[in-house]
Amino acid sequence: MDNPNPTSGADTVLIADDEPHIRHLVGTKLKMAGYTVLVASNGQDCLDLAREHHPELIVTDYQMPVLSGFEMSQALAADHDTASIPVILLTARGHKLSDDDLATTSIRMVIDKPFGPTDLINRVKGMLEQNKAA
Amino acid sequence: MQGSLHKPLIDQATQTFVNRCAELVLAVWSYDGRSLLLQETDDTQTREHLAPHADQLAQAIRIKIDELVKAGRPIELAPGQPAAWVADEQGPTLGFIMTPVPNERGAPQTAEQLAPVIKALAWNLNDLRKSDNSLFAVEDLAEQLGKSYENITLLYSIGRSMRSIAEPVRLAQDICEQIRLTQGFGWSAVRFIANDMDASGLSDTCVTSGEMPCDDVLFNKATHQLITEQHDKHWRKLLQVGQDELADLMRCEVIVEPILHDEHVIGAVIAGGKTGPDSEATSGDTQLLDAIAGFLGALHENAARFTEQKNMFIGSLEAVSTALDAKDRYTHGHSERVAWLGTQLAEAVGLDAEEVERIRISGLVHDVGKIGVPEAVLCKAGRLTDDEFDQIKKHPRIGYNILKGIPNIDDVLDGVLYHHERWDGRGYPTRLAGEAIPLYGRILAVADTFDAMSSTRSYRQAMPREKVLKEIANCAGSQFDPSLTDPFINLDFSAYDAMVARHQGDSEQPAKDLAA
Ligand SMILES: [Fe+2]
Repeated sequence: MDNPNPTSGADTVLIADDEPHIRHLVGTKLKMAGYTVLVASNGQDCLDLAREHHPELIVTDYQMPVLSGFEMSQALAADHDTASIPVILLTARGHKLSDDDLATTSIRMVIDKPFGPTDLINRVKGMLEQNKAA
Repeated sequence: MQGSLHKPLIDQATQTFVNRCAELVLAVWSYDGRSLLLQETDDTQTREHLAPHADQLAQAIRIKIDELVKAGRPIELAPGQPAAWVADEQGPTLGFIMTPVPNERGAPQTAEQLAPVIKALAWNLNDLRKSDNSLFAVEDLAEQLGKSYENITLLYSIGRSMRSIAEPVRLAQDICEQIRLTQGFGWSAVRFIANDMDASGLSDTCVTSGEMPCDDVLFNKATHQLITEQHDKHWRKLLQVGQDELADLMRCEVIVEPILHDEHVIGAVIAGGKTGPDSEATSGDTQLLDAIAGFLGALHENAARFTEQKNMFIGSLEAVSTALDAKDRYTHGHSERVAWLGTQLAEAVGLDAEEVERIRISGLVHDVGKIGVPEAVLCKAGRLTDDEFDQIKKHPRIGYNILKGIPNIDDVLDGVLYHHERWDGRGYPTRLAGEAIPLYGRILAVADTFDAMSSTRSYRQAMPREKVLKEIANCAGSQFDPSLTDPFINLDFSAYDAMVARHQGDSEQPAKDLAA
């Protein structure tokens, strides 16, 4: 997995999914949209990369080995240094998280799989703009 | 291979297999570098025979284990008691001990003579132990996908069709069609690149579904280039117009999933031209194509193994049959002639090329079960006693047992098991009558009897052609299917006569070899 040092200028988005086809699809589309992309294949790698590189946004799968997307997002929220990074969570249909649960994390949005990448990219764009305005 | 970490393994599949070959296999052994397991076949007679020798055999294997593992061929444990080994990639060393073959038996006697049989058994066993792996994979995947997607039906239908790997191209075509319909692509393709060593029947195949935006020649060329030039690690799966040649050619975003064999890219699943409001590939598309590429890899592997195995197995059995025929100069070339006569009759009654080929194979191996009949009985001059005839009558069943483990060879079994049945139900071994006897059995029955009457036997001279044909006609409705006798009598036998002359000419040499 190539994780180049994010260059200044373009926003950096970190993707975490244990399924290579999702990393490939989302990664390709984000790069095409002009973002710098970092990838992780489990929650722990994702957390380590987030602490090191401070991406502008994280797109993560829910079910992953080592550390789930949910646990990873709780860990991000609990750490001062990373609490402000917004997270988009991808879930398999049928996994519903309560608002109380979500409140303990940095998750700002939940998207059901399967998803269309353009829709996802638009949401990523929207969230990054919203974050900058805030 | 001989690591001490392996547990001795004689699993259920092995036991089932060995019991099925009780006529040929005395026991199966497995060795993990430390302990030796010896499993007798379930046959009570065999068990009694083995019991006093079990320790002795185990001892013999222990002494020869290194030699066995290294040999790559059967070696004899003691005169008349050969053993073979089967090296399974993951498992321990596993081998057979063949039924002891004292001199008066009709079976080949030395390890060398048994080699083809043992090899065939080994292939057969390995296949049995590995079969259905692909099905388990399908079920795992369906389970996994079932949580999020509604494609289970498609996956199950693919999984089911994986069972019949005899027609891999048609399967690839079906799968290709399903991809397009399920996911709403404008077109889809399954492409395997050329490889001379590929026995799968899929080499250099391209099947497509839907309206292709460019002509086949261009598409074949472009996909060949794409597949041969990409490396798996940096495989680009989403090709974009303006960036990738294939996407430009197809004028749309193209998804390409590599099909792998042993980490080599051997082909790809390709789709594009999504219809509907959203014209781009979704995560559902990429997931499904990913899964399907995995199946196609398994399909390719199964198809290749199946073809190799089937050819090798049939080749081995042919060799055994020929050796059996050659033991007796009166039957030298019998199987080849029966195969030829069978195909001629099959063609005459209008069977298609595929069926004719099955008849040919049936004919070549129809008497392979004679390997389990004592030579003294097989080659006896003069009348057989009832007891001796009972022994002869076992050969269709023995042959059937040897063959029945091979997947997709069922169609050849009929000829082997039923070639001694009679239209009036007085044949053996099942005593079926009329059309209840499978057609291949009825066809080979005529061919077999014709050849027997036309050859000189130890107890009588060959009958003249005219008399033989008259006899066949007379037996219509009693021994033979009456609808087969006329077409048979009208065959042109000139090629048959040439075959007989050739077999007589070369029967001296093999007879001497075997006497030695
Ligand atoms: Fe026979």
